[in-house]
Amino acid sequence: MATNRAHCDQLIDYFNGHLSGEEKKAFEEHLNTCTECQEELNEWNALIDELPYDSEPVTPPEGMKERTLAAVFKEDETSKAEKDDESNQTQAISPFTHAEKAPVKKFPSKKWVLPAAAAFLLSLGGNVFLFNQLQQQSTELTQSQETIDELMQFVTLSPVNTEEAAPAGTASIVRRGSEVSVVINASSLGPLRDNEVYQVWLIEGDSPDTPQRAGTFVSSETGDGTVVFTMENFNPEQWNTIAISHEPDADSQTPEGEVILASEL
Amino acid sequence: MTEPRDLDLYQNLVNGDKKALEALYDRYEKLVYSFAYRMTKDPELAEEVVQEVFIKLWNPHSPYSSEKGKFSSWLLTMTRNTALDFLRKQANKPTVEYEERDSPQEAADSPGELLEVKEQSQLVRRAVQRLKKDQKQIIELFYFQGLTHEKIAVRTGLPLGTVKGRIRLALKHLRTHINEEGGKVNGY
Repeated sequence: MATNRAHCDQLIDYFNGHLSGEEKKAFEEHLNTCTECQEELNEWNALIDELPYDSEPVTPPEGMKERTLAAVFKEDETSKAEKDDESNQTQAISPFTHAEKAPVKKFPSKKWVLPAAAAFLLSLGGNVFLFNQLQQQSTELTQSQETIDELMQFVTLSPVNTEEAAPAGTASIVRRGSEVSVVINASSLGPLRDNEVYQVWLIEGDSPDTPQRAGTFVSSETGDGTVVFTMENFNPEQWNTIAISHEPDADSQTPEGEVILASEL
Repeated sequence: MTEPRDLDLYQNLVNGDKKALEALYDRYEKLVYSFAYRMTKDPELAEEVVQEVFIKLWNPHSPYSSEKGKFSSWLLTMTRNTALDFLRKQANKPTVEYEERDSPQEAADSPGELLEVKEQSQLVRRAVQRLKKDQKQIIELFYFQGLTHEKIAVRTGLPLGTVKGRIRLALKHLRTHINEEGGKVNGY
């Protein structure tokens, strides 16, 4: 029975496609004989009628249809030449390159909020790129929410090591209705290698040993970085420190790398 | 107004009708993109997922048939699997992570989009919003980020052996909420 339980425990990894060829085959053999796993898998598969609809309806980027149809029909021609070559398919579908990302995707973009939000963000770090992104987004999205943002707290993040070219940053805590967004702007960040990222941590006064990871971002070529994250039920009394660390990858559950910027809240 | 059925469009598509593919694209563009964006949290990656999904639709390795359930469910399953694939490949290139979703960005209706999608979306989002924070989190990690069992345990701080039970519980609550929200969602 022990092996049986072990197999049942692989259901999540099977459903999410994490099993290798052999593991998958072994699990599927188990699945054939385990009604419990079958039932659970059926339920999970049925979620496709519900959970995808938990997505905010977002307007696709301009020109996506043309790019997609071009990729589909171009692929059609190549696949006639090289049928069943899947590796070819994935390479042929990227007519654009990955630009450096400014993490403003979910920032509210209702037009009347824009001037205030943009001025506010500019005042933080003079992040003109972000401003441009916001403007661009405003033409792509319309928004129905009518709330007024209120700045709850603004702090300057201090570098932990004061070497030359030390990083600088600010954190703003903004209330929008029942939600609280935290906007971090940082500059003079050092370059990132491989999978490295910057991560934001909130540290509780009562339990300083268990910081909560709040956001992840990468810096631009010029060493600037911005992250916006939203928290529900944010209690300003709960947190007494905000910190940014340089992490080896985005999977760190607690800060593993060096803390570069921090401030009391 | 009689719109051609998904299945009919799909049949034409299989016979090489590019217009049929385009019609299905128009119908599902926003849903597929929004779901891909919800999973990847990255507009460019979401677009890549959309492209890959429609490439697979046009060159089916495992074609759709009505025994597989609703066309939209099949298409969304393909979207989820493709997005998970891309997320795994992109694991080295993380983007911004959101603890919770930001305010809704209601998009304008697009022509050809199904009203049913909009209603379903409002209903499910209301139901999800009613879940407790830890229940939302486990659904996010399990379903939308498609993490491994182990990573879900680490991220939630739950013992490995507890994770599946918590998923089950969260989904049970979700289903209750969906039913209460007036969903005729189960079993078409």
